[in-house]
Amino acid sequence: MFFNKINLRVAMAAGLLLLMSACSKDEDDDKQINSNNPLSEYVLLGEESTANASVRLYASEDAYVGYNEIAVQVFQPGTDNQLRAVSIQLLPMMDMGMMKHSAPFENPTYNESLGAFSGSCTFIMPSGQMGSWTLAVLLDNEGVRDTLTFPINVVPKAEARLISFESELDSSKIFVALRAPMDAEIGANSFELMIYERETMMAFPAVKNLSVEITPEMPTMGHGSPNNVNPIHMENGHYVGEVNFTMSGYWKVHFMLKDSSGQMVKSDGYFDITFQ
Amino acid sequence: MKAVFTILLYFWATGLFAQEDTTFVDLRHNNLDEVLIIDTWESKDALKTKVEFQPLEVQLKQIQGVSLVSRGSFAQELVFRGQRDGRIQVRVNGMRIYNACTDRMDPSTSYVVSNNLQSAELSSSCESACAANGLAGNFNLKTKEACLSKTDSFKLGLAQQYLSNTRGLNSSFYLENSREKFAWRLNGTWFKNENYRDGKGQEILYSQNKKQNWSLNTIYRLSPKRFISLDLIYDLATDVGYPSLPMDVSIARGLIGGITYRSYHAIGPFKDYELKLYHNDIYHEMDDSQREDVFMHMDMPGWSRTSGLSFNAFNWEFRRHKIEWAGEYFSNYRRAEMTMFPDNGLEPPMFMLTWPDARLHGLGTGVSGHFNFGLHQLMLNIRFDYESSSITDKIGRDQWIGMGYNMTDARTYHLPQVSLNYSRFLNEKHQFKLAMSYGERAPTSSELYGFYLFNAHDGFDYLGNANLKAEGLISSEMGYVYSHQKMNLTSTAFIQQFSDYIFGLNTNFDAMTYGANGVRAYENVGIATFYGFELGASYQILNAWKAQSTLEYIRGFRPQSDLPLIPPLQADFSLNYSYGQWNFASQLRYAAEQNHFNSDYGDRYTPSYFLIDLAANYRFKIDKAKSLVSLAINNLADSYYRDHLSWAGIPAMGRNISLGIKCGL
Repeated sequence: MFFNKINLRVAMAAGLLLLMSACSKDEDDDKQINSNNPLSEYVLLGEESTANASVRLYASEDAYVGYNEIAVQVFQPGTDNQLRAVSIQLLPMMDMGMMKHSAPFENPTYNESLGAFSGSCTFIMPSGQMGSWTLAVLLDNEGVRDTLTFPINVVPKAEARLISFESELDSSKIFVALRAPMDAEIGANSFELMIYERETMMAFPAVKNLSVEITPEMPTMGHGSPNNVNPIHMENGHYVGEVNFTMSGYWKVHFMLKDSSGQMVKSDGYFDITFQ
Repeated sequence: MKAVFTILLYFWATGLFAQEDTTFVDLRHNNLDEVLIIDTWESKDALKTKVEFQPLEVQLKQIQGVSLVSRGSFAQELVFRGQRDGRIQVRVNGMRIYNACTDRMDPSTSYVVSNNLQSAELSSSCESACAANGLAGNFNLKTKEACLSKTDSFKLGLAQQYLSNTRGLNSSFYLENSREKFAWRLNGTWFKNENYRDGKGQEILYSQNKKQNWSLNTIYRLSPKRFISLDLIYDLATDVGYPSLPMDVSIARGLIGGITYRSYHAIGPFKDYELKLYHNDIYHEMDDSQREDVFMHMDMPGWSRTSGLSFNAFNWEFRRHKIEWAGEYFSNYRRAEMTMFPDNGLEPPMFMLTWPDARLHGLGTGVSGHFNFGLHQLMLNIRFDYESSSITDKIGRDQWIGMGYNMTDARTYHLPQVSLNYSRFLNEKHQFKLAMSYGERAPTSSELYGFYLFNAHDGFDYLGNANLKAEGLISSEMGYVYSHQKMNLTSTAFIQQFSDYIFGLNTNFDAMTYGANGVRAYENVGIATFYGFELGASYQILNAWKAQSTLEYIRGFRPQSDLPLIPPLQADFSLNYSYGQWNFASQLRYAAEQNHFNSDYGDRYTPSYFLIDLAANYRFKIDKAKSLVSLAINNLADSYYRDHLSWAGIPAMGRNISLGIKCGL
């Protein structure tokens, strides 16, 4: 009883304090929402206009080989009025002179919290002497169609965020991109893979029927970690699970892919993830 | 009570049931426990020379029921009736101290040096009074105090000792100033030892150590019946080798301070009381830079800070009964890190929190009653503790959330303790005693939140378990004492049964430590049982001759298996002779083979051993300086042996000849 009373008093005192601080904080919160707009963290990849629309293309960071979060804002030309009712399609294209190929992508849909259309594009090779990337944004505003094309400079990351291989089952070309964690921390991290296959040079559909098993390893120490959650398919090639990093440093997260009948698609792929 | 009361297997038994309810080893008025004479300055008994100058832990081992876990030759960990770490409590001047080393390289005993120890009090779970709440036993080490004196006087003492085995030098001094209202005492000790050698003459690498210890005690008389005193201890050990472990210690530093207010004015019905405020700050840094076969260098610093406030009221007397009351609050913060440095130059360091900023708050109160009905005496002790612990660091919390734990709530424990102690004098010579107790303890920081702590004894990484329940102990002991003129016999038999015993069980996780055997996680595993007995006898043959002997036995097991690190049957016999200014002492020490061991937990069969120690000292005066020269030989036959409780099976020290001289003004 004695302790309960003390706890009660402490709780009441703490509650009061909390109320007081909550009241004074309210005003700051509005400002914070503006500065916390996720789009302000994005990088502007380019701005193009036609007679019907002007388009700003953003990515969550400089375009790289792997899964890129793409944001698109469409404005009435010459104004700050966003057009939200348009439908948007993406078309990434790698021009290698002798040949062209596309890449996996997700068409943007309007995202209120972002204040923009949000989608993705998974660049499967870097820009360079081999060829150059463009990303076309196809608008359809109630039948009025426009195509705006942005040149994109795609760089590789020091630690690969995309790997490709031939299926051990049928030799089809598979692309696996690491979507999360982007900024790994000690403890549990969301672990998300995007898995696509190359149907033709222009079609890279999501692969939705795989089972994924992950095994984190600290190669330098030769140990793994417990309590990981194997990614399972959510939708459109997103496989979401959890990885547990028991300490900071260099980790190698191995993954194994099997099809729905349990046949091996990839016996040992991995992503290196280093953080401090 | 949830624990089932098992059949009490009582052996022919007894106790070191001294006059008090605790086994109180007073250095100046020693009776049975003369072996444990720690007063190096005013030794009056040849027995003292046998152990004086020895490290404190070695002296404490002389108390019945006490053994030592050693990871080298420094800072051994106390074991009482097979229990250690979180199951027993070791305080210094009534202050709680929590170690800062995840490997327990720095037990509380390491902050008190032998020449500054006034007394060591030990009480078993059944005997403990309300001021302590160790589950299976309590130690309180009291350091020497300055004495007030009507005449203004200075005292100075110097001592120097050489140890042949470790080529060790041990120096100490004290300076004491006594006046009517104010007195202080400063004690300083330094020692330095090289690697020791075992009985085959082999050098045990990484067993060196170097240490200094400073202790200041002051007392001020506020009024005839009120005193205030200050205790300060600064202890710095550097370059301490731990041959049983994969790494050593570069710095172990302790700063311990307390202010005590003592009043002999009544407070309520209590005649006198004591109020104590204390704080200590322990820092510990492990070091593997001296080792050659290191897989990967790492830094492992640890911090432990404890503050506390305690209140004890004594002597509520009515008829021949007495009641005392204790209350305390304490708070402990612990953090330990591990940073590993890959030497390929490519990868960043790897970091984790092995103790993730654990914050422990405790609040406890208890009352003890001593009821005296002539030949019958009864002591009843009731105490209740509330402990709450949580992780205060984000990385630490994330580590444990990553392991699947809910870390939003603090872990709280409500811990009752109750004991009942009955003793009866059959007549002047015979005393019989029976005691029972039940208590609970909260898991330690390591058991709750330890993150992959490597245990070099069994080679496993240990993971805490934040969902542990409190551990319970029901224990009972029976004792019989016979004392008649020159003869003194004591015996105690005890049985202890733990419920929700906290123990590491195998997991299928990967070990974090390179080369480790696997990972064990702490669980409440149900029942663990300990039983044993302690016998003691002493006989004053003639005025100049005295013989004494002890015998101890303990068994500890879970239903399916023996528990690790349980001492074997041990006995010793000593014979002392004094002649004029000379004192001579001899001692035989015996440990039986240990057949009850658990090899899954790092134990191995340990053969029996038999050791002989000899000592002599000579007392003389140079002018006014009382001086003493002593010579002691431990392990005379240079036997090669291993103590069952030494980690990783390292052999113990071979023959050691120590030569000491000291004088006091």
